[in-house]
Amino acid sequence: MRGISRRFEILKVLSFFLSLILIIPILYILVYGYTSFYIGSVAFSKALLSSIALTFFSSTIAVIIAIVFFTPLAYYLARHKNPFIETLVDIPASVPHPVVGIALIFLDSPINPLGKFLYDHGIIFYYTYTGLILALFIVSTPVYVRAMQNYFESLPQSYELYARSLGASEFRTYITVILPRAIKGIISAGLTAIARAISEFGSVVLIAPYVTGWIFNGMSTASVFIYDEFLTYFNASITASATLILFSLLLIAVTRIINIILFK
Amino acid sequence: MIEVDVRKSYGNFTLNAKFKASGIIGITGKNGSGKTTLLNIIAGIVKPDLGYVKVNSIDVTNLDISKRNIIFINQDSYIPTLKVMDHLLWGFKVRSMKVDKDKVNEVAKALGVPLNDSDKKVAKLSLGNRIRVALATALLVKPSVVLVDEAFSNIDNKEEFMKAVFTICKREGIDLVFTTQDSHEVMLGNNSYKIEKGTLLEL
Repeated sequence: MRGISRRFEILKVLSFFLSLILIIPILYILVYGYTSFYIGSVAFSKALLSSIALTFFSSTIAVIIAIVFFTPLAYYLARHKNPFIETLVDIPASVPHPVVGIALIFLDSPINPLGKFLYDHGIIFYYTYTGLILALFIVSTPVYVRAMQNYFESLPQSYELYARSLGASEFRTYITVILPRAIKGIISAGLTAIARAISEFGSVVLIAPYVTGWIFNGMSTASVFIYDEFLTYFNASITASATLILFSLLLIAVTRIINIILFK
Repeated sequence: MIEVDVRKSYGNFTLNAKFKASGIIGITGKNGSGKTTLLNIIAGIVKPDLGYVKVNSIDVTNLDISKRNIIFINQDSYIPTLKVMDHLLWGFKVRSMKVDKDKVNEVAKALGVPLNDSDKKVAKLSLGNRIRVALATALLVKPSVVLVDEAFSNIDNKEEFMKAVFTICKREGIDLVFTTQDSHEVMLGNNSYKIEKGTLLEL
């Protein structure tokens, strides 16, 4: 017994160091960004904070759209195994994300019939909030659907089977029995999907490197902003990255705390 | 009248069940003998590998669970989001049936549903009271069959409660199939069966 518990202790220490390896680069930039490489005019500059605000805003909108339209799909996949639809949902998460950006630009281009129709009706993706939110929606929805599917699979089916045997349709059962019990899962999966959307770069840098109009006019998302800083002045990108990491850590902490409160 | 002739295999376990009965049907057997699987097949939760399920001579084997007019109840069968009275009326609502308030009160009283807690959510009731509410809701809509999977064992004054349920079923013409591990309790039905290692035997 002592041998087994000792082996578990070794595994625990090993796991800790392995996870530390994952975050060393991030910790490094956080420490250096706020010490020797600290640039006061960049750390909490209005432009950086606005780009972080735009990132959180657009990611939240994208995930709210995913919650409204894709929660029923996650429930369907949890209750009826459908490898074909599961594959369709996984595709956006599996292709290189610049491809999503290129696809959106092409989709909205007047050189094809659908693009011409959208363009003629004033629906423009390029350099717009619509394009930005659409890109974030496409890359974060698979994460949301899979997380919600796991949550629904973990729920016991007794309530819904009783409702169905009473004669309730699948839709009525979903509204009356499933949705009220899924709030915790929706919040948890939604926060995970927001974290994914916030880190998006590949598609956003192509479709909406900055957005035009409204309160974030001319702003980029944080990932694109940092990339621009990197291209223009490397030292500034270190401090800006440190600030972005702070906000990401804040989101992770909030997600963890909410999960603990919801699932305790 | 329920007519069942089904076969279902899970790995090394095979369930073989054949019976034709009506009224109050009791099925006993040990844990893992196949009682719940048989009820799941009758309810439409599980598909049999072979065979059929007929209710009043109509083959329901391929019908969806919501279209069979068979209500399945175990100890977790209730709508947790509804209050007691809303729960009792929910069956009428989903089936677009006219609410008979006198009948609701009569059945609820007969089954000991805590009507003084009618504003309380069903999830907040004791396990026994939740089963009372679930069964009352089921009996009120007059289904062809009610399946009760070992839920009676969680009720205080079990035999009295079972007799009240059986009386309503007989009056309304509802067939009731219940499972139990208690070899005495199973004899309370007018048709009694035993499942041994997946095979249904008449007692």
